[in-house]
Formats: sequence, C-alpha cells, structure tokens
Amino acid sequence: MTCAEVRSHFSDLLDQGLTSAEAVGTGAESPGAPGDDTGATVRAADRAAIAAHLATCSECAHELAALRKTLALLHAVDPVAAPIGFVDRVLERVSRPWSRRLARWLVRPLHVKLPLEAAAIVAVSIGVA
Amino acid sequence: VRERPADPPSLLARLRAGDPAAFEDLVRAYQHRVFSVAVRMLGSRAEAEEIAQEVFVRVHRSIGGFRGDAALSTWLYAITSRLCLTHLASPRRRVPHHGEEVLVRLRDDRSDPPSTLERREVERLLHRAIAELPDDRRIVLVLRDLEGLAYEEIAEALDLEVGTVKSRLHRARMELRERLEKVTG
Repeated sequence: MTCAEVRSHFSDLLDQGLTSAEAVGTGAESPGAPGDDTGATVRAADRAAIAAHLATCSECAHELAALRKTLALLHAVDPVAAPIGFVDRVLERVSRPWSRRLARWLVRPLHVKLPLEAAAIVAVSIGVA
Repeated sequence: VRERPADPPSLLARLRAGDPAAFEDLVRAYQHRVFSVAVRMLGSRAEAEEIAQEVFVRVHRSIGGFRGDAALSTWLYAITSRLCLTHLASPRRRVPHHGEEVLVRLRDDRSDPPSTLERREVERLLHRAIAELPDDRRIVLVLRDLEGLAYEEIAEALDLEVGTVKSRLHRARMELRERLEKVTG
C-alpha cells in the first residue's frame, strides 16, 4: 500500500477506535470496535497491510497520531446550549399566524373590507330568511 | 464520540395525535442539538437562533406529513443542515461572522490540564479551523464529530451516499489536522 492509500483509511480506523500500528494489525474483520455504531469499515486484509505500512513508515504513523489528537480535541468540544427563552420564542412564532391574520384584517383598507362585510351581511340575511 | 440522547419514544405518536403539549416537548428536547449545529455552521449566535427557530416552525408546519421512516432526530438534523447550507449560499447573507466570537469551549477532563491561556489559544485555533472548512465538509464534520451521528444517519440527513459522507469527512479531518499542526504536532 502507498502512503496515500494508507492515509485514505485513517478516518475509518479512528472511528473504529484503532489508533496504533499494533491495534490496526489485530482483530477480526468487523464493522467496528465494540460499541461502535458509526458504520466505519476497514477490511481485515486492508488492516494487515496498513499495519505493515505503519510499522515501517514513520511519517504515516506520525500522521495517524496527529489525526487522533485532532479528533480527541473535536470530541472534547462542549455542546452549545440554545439561548434562554428560545422555546418561548419558537412557541410564539408558531402561534403567531392567527394574530397576524387578525391584524391584517383589522388594517385592511376600507375599499376591500366594506364589500367583504356587505357580502357577509347578505350571506347572513339569506341564512336567516 | 459524544453520546447522543435517544428520541423520546412516544413523542412522534403524540405529535401526530395532535397533543398540544407535544410540540413544546419536541422543541425542549431538541433545541440544543438544532442550535448547536446552526451555530457551528453559521458562526453567529444571532443567525443560529434565526435558523433554529425556522427549523421548528417548519417542523410544526409539516409534522403531519412526516412518515417516520427516519428517526425524528435525523429529520431535524436534515432540516437544520439544509437551512444552514441554503443560508450560507444566499447572496443576501451578511459578511461571514466566524472569528468575531470564539464559540468553541473544550471540556477539561485531563489529569494534567493546560493553563487557561493555552486552552483559550487551542479553542481559538480550533474555532477558526472548523470555520474555514468548506461548507459541504464542515456540515459532515459537525454532524459526525461534534454531534455524534453515524455515517448512515449523516447520509440520510444530507441525502448523500455513505461513500460521499466518508470521503468528505476524511478530507475535513485531514484539513483540520493540517490547520491544527501547531497544537497536534
């Protein structure tokens, strides 16, 4: 395997919890480390070839270690909490359409509103009659 | 990788049944996850709130049509990702906000913690490195490494092949590793 081919597997290896040449070179073919549900897969044959490469290529071994540190940093990032009052503001927004429609009706110009009101009165009168 | 809380089991059934309290429960259960993705993608709390609110407004509007083929959380991540990417691509979007405020905070659970100054510097570098990734790679990295989604879930949320998710994630991680050379060696 070339350096580029080996490095193309680094993400999957790290998702499978394999971070050293020894770890990469052991274990049966499996979809991931115990408890891993990422969907990461590196075939056992590839893992053996990668382990052999890492044992002799210090640059790739260094690259894998640096990538592992990068991921460790990412995984240590604290989640960001939604701002206080967020839920209330969402609930206010989803309930707003009714009040908006009412407001629109109230400010509708007379030349639009009056004919509609007249039509409503006629409709009600017919209904009563 | 971070553990994600599972979807509350009866929430979808309650939403579909029109339980008036169910929507509020949904917003409470997912607000932080939705906001977190938005803030990582947009780099601004104000814009993230705008988009996160819009996510829930759309959910409210379309919950009746949600078939439940995917998990509720995957659906929410899908809407959030799509809105963020559309917003980022909008020509009307204001100047990018990344860099104004460092929105990355690191947990410190090591036995030999670095000084506050060192940690702030790492947080600043990491914030900038994430912000400078291309949008289509950043979203995959955020969903995988910050939100803890599996490849399949990301593929479903972004409507991509799993292979595309893997290659974008790999490139994003390698780019990040290069940008963090100073910290990771």
